[in-house]
Amino acid sequence: MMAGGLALLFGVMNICNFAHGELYIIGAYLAYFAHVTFGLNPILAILVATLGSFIAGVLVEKVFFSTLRKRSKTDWVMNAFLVTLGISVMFQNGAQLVWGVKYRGITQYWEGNIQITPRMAIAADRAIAFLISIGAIILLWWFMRKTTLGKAIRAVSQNERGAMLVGIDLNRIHTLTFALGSMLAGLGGASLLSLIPAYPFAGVKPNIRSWFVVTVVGLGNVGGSIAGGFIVGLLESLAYYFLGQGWQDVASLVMLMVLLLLKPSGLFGSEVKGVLER
Amino acid sequence: MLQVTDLQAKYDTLQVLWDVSLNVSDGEFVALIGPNGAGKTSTLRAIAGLVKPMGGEIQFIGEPIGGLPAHQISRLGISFVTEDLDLFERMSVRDNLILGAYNRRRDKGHIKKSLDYILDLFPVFAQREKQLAGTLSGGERKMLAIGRGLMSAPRLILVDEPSLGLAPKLVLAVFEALRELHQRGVTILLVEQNVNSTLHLVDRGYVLEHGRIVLEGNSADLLDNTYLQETYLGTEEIPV
Repeated sequence: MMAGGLALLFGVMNICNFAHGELYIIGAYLAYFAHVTFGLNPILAILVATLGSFIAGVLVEKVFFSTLRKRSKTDWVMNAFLVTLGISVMFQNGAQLVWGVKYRGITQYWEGNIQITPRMAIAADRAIAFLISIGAIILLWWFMRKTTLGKAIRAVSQNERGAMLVGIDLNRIHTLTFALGSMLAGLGGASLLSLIPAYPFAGVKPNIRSWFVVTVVGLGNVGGSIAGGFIVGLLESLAYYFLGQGWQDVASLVMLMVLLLLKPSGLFGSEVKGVLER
Repeated sequence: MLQVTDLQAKYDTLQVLWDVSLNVSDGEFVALIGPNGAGKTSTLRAIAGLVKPMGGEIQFIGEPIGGLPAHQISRLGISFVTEDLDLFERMSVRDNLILGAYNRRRDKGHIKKSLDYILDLFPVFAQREKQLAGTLSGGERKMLAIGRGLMSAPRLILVDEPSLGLAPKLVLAVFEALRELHQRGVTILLVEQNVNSTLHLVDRGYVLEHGRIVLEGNSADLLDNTYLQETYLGTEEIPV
């Protein structure tokens, strides 16, 4: 799901967002405060976090990327990438300053296990997090395919000039896209709060992992990143089970290297807008 | 309807248009002709808001529009079919057309009516609404771009070199479509290099050379003009 948000940002706006992990923690922190401090029920807390990260996305886009777009005509990809790194550093240290390095986690949103077979059970928490992400992906897919606004986002990613000429306001679409991507990251952070507590550097790992997924399936490919998430997840679990703890990253990195050597555009190789053209 | 007065435009530091003045009235079919690099495309781009004019005035239905962003100009009722067509290649024919009516996206009745109108005008698309725009042939792509430009029911449509890169037979088909459009009451400003056939098609024409208007008049007068005959037409006439 996070990878989906990242792919969206890259495909539409040509931004290599290395601050994606930070939007993930915004979601996690918001969910924590909503759930623990204000005592909201889990569903509401996750909703608040999702909405909050959408708004955070709007702010980040308006403050940083809108401004940058007006000034930087050349080297957009590189400049935008550097800005995201800056945001990431600022946010990590800002969060440390405001909230301290304390881990803010919860043990679980929902109690209980779901029995799948007599000998296998998964925590209700994980099952629900999984369902939430599937639901979010289906919603995103529906939004991008069936609504006029979603089609406008795709139009901007395919041909900016054509989009302008049919009357699409690029600035609005860019802000909306960034906010949607942030929302997906925030939703991820919020629904996984019981597994990964919120702390200033919690976003680093999910960020790297979603970059990983995005690279595996081909940059900017929103649909493929879902399949990619499963591929990487399964591979890591298998490596964990058969090779032992600590080997899962090795397995996935080896796969990435082999893949980049054999098929540099990614598994589902959509043409990469921007990087190849410029 | 459209009034361009003393338009100046430049790319970076290179000026490409000097004092270009032209006007298009309601229901007219006007052509802007001239050799490669004369500034025809730049003129259209300035009108559509893709290039910011550095001087002069552009008025549309009495309102100054010079320097407005492209999407706002599109909202006022000017469609621009560019040379590159700028289709959404990885979307279906239908979605391309629907996005053409983006300005009126809340008016479902209008969208349906426009779709029927376009499918009636270009029957080739009737059975192929689901096909991806990127897989269409050259002639079909031009028709789709023109169709997309018409979806918002614009007051004025700017068409840039529709004959470019097409086989002669397809050029005729595209011109035929434009003629049909004109007869249905659409106001058109056409840019072309294909002087002879263009002048047989339109009401009036402007000739642009080196960024300046050098000639203007009714198409019949322009076809008789000695300068134009010597420069562009040669001696043989190719009937359309």
